[in-house]
Amino acid sequence: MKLDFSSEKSIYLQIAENIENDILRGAIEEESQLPSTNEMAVIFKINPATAGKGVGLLVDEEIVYKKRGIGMFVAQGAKKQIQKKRRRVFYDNYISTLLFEANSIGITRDELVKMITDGGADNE
Amino acid sequence: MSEIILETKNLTKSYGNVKALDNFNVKFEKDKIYGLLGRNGAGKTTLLNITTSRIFTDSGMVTAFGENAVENGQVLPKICYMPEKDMFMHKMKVREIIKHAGGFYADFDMQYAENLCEKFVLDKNKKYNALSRGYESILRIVIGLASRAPLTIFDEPVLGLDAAVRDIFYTELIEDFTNNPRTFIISTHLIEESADIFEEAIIIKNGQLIEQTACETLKENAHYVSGKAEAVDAAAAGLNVIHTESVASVKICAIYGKVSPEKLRELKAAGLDISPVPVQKLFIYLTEN
Amino acid sequence: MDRIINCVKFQANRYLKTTIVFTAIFLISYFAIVAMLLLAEPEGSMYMGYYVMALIFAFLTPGILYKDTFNNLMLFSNTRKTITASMLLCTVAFSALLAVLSELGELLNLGMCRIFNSLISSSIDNIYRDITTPQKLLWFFTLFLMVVLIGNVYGAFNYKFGKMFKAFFWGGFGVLMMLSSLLSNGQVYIAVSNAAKWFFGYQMVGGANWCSLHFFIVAVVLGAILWLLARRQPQNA
Repeated sequence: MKLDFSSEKSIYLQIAENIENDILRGAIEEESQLPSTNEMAVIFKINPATAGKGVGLLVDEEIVYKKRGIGMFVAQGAKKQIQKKRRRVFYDNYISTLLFEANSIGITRDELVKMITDGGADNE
Repeated sequence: MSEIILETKNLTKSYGNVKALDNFNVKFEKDKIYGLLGRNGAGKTTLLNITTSRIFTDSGMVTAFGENAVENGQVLPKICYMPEKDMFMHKMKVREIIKHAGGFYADFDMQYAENLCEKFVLDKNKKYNALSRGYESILRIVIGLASRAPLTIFDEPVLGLDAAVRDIFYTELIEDFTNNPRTFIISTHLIEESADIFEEAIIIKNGQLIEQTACETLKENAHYVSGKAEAVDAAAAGLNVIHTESVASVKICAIYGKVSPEKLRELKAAGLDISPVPVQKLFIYLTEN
Repeated sequence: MDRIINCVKFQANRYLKTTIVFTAIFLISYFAIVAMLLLAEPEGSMYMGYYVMALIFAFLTPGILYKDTFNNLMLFSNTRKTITASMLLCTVAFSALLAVLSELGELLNLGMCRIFNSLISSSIDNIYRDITTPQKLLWFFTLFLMVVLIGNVYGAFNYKFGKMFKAFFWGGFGVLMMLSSLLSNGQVYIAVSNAAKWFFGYQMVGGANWCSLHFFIVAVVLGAILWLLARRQPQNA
């Protein structure tokens, strides 16, 4: 997990995203424990409140939950939850930029579809 | 709202014709790390000196731990203020200075002080006047951290320290804060590298408080809007513009204030380029005259 | 109270060290002169009292230490009340130490003058005919209380006004010296002389005790001045 301090994206958002990415990739299993916000603060040299805010976002979306007196745990079905969430914003985050850029450099829709199906093998 | 540890009301302090502090009101809460930011001469040190009874205010009140803080023997020992200026006895050895410090702060952790001396490679047998500028800062850091005072204040703690040592300081600060929470106030010029340590930033300009906000909010609320001059002017109308620049026909504006995501999309759709403002630059714009 | 004691401990080391160094230098000079007397008996006689040299030392030490002490103790979150109280306690302890050392100095003289005719055993016994040892100790103690407090007050004024004060003080001192040498005769001289005699209890019955009382009163006044000077003193780096 890495943070980009010069990025436009707030640190707490990056933390939430990083944890989500780890859950998606299976690096963090469901029902496993997350490092504490204090541990995260020390590792990244950020204020623990910031780490807490990032984790708080995940709690609100029910991706992560708190076990009293023990810590934060990845919820059952968190992976599905994240995928669902990401699908919703996939268009805004990736497709619209793709279309905009393709348009600016004159790539047609058909060329675009071909690129996608060929996996970019012949885009010289 | 969390417990208020330190509060000032209408502090005014003048030096001759110059108002160092102008009706200054600020509140600090328990167990938070605050960054105190401002240009040279903005009033940061005056504020810190007054709240810790090192100098006296012309008018106004300082309350700490629920009591009037001025010359208060119950309250002052709970505050450890390590200033920028060199104030230790020159002929004393570092070891002695730390030992004496230990006697004045109820929660002082001598073992922790020893650990810090090792981490920073501070030679305890050296006399204070034999220390380099950097090590003088390190001694102040060691005492401030090891004091475990419920309110610990540092004025320019990393002066004269190289990047590696500064890193040790930030790490120790966060680590000790998470294990032994207390209120920290850190006054600094090095905003870029310390902004993420702070929970809240307090910005002083010309003796007045111009901003007190969570550090993320500072970053989230600042944007560069750039593009053709007319488009930028149209977009920036009604927004809080804190800086403008022109390069050929391209105009760049820095805006500060809450802007909704819809508004941002609107601006992007209008062909304007929206980018983040680096914290250091934001600070300069906010404190410009 | 704990904090006041810690403040005293903070200063104690410095006071002790300088006293040891001063006493060592005194003894070295003392015995160097004694060695010279072994070689040749000079004309006339002299008195080498520890307390006379110690007066200068007692004035200078607190004067020099004031700024660093005030700054460092304030740095450690002490109130001005606590700092001044600790300075006053140090003054008492320091004066007591110097009083004891001065009495020992007198005893040393007593022993030495039995061997060397050129040495006078005591100047105090000559001023106060009927003085006893406890009275002598009290006299030394109150004398040093006064002088150490003069040093403290000097230090406090210097802290407050800096170079300007130093200029005034030593300038004024010089002027006083000049004036006193000019007034070797006349009414003013007689009046000042009598006042001094009264103050020091010169050739009065129980004169040493009167003198001690006068020293003590001056010390108390100086202590009050020290307190007032520190009360609203902003910290100067």
